[in-house]
Amino acid sequence: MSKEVAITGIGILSPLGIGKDQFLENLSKGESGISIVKGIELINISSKLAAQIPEVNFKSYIPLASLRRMDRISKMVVTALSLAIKDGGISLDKENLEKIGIMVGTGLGSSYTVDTYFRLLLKEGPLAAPPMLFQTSVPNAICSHASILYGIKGINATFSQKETSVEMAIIQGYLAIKKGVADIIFVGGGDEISEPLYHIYSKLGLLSKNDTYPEGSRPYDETRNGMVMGEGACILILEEASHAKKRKANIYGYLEGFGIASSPVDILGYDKKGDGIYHSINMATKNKSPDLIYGSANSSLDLDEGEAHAINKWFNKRNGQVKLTAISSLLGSFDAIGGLKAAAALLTIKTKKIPPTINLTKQDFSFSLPIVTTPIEDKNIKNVLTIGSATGGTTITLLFSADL
Amino acid sequence: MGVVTAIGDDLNSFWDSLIKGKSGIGDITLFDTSSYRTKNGAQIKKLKYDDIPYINNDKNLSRADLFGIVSAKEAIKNSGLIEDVWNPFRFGISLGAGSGGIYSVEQYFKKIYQGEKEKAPISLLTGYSLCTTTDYISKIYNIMGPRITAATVCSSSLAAIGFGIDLIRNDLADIVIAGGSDSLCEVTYSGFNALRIVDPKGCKPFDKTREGISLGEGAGIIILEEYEHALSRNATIVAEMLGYAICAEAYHLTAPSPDGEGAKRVMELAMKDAKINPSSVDTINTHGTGTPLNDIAESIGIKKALKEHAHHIPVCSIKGSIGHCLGSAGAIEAISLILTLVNGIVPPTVGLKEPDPKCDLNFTIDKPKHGDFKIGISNSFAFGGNNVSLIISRFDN
Repeated sequence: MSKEVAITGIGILSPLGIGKDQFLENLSKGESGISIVKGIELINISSKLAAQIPEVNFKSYIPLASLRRMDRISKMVVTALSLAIKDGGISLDKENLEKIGIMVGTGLGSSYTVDTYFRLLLKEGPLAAPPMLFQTSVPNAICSHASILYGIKGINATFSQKETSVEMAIIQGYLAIKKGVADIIFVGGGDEISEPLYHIYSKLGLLSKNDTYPEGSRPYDETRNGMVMGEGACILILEEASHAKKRKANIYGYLEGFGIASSPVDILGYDKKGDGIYHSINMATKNKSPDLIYGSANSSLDLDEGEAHAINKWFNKRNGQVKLTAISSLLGSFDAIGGLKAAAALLTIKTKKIPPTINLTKQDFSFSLPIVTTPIEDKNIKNVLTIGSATGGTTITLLFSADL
Repeated sequence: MGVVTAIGDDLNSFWDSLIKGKSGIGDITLFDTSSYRTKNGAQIKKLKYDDIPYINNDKNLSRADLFGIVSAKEAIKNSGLIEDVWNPFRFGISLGAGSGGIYSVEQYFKKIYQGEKEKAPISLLTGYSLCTTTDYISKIYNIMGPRITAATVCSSSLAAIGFGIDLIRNDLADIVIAGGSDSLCEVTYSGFNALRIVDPKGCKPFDKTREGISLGEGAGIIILEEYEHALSRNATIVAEMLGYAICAEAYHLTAPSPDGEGAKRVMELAMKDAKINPSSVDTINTHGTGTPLNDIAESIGIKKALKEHAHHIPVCSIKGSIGHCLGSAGAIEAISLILTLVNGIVPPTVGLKEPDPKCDLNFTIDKPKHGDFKIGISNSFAFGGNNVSLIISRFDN
């Protein structure tokens, strides 16, 4: 019998709060997590907004002995992991730890650490370069810390594919469970706002700034002029369905399909024509049609346009009702946002609450389907599609369902 | 297959240097090493790419992008694939990355932090992301299928080959460009130096006097293809990927588990995936970094996984020739293993003179070992005990 993949736990650290309840409450009210950026120095940078996570008392989530070896991004993701384990009611001492894995996506996880390290190196020379900082600056340090802390010895991998990094980890986790290499895989990831990263995004022209229109995150809006940078971490528990049922786990939903495709666009360009996005949506919706789509639109000119083309083209061949929303209006945009999107999709399936796309006053595209702009509940939502689409052209879609 | 290393910038020159026991480890000229404890590394000092118009037209490429594009071109050429035979949506890519374009980003921030921001060209930032090489190659070859970039550094590109195998097994692609590319940069060079695991005299895997790694750089690309698809176009099949495994030691952030349990388990799981017994293994291309801890743990792991049979097969490490290429090490070593299986030659373990008594395996030392080798294992182990083993078989057409 082929294995099915359930989601049995959610851990979140987001600009809209810590833990799934706070996240859902603020998200479904349409609260914005975006404000003036704090804690970093912006010299010669024309943007000033960001969606940052609140202060976290990491000591409440991670033992001190482990905490002191971690940098901020590892603390963020491991905190999300500890929240997920608690939420999922998993007793690790009862599990076969060789059949538990972790797969994480991160764009530039430790950019702050690498930058701190590099500045020390430049200023003081190689002898001042601290080994403790270097060893936690590698992208797979997050998974290493997590596996050491919890003793999980199964499949362990890290992916970096810009805004589809976490979706990549989720589908690889899904495939690994289907293959039978693990009973449970913690999938997700995170990214943080750091001075060098904000600098890079700004200089590469990706960020919204005050020009003809004001700085802000306005997906699908005619006045959109770039993304607002966000940060956050999320871990989902992917669990082989019979394993989940045997331990009477709370099941949020099932991952029933995915799509992965790409368009050969410029390194810093989005899939403006939407060919890869369209193909990826088709792949994920082969067997089931979604009632709601969490779009990847992030207020950039080209991504929102490409996604609109793709969704329209796909929807025109369908019947029925599909709604659309884009939570980057509330959370900004970052490489690991796919985890928060997937969590939001599962929470919608569970609670029927749909978060609105805020800041949408003048819709730019003639969509064939309605965009949700005010908080609503819809009892009919059973299947939800998330879209993640990255600069460079990769798109990954995920289809979550209430029932198999 | 295609390869770019310090001992050869194409498959033939790489293999020729490897079996002759040449070493690419020498003085690093890419950046100033005068204040470092060590000065050496396997830096690529020449690279031909005049025949690749794309490279000459794009000034934003990092070293890692360059190496990756050059070896992808060689791999595509050797595979006999021509662009109009593939369906772009069934054409995927799975690469491993280490530091990616960080060398370029370093050059940018160096200027900024030294107060010369007018001299810091924004184009240096283009390759800031670890998936940039993946995206460039996708663009050049019009890849519209799955793209994967694995970021487990020292084991990235072997893991990427594993994920590429699964793309084909799961019917998500017919052809996958798999492997990895990585370049030297100051952050990693100084980092490994700060951890005091760089051998000042050059890497000597499994040797009694070994002190650590030598860093290297380069790229290795393998074209994976679904079997029927390859047959239908009369491709020359070089090897078959039998199976792989990835797992974690959950032991320490940089040190391997000293009892070799992590190494043993990943090889056992890979053999299970490949459906082979230990006695079928004819040779092993080890991770063999030359650090005191890795080489003992790996030797113990090999003995535990293959039992008595471990002593009857030739084992090598090519890191004394090409250095530790981090994000591309696994792919280059997998290519070396394929060439071993095809040519019946295990390359010498350059740098090794007298094996550590705790590493009592049948290493090639100062000359290559000839024989009939059908199935081999390639190992890559990363920081934090992120271990990968890949099992490859020669394909007799």
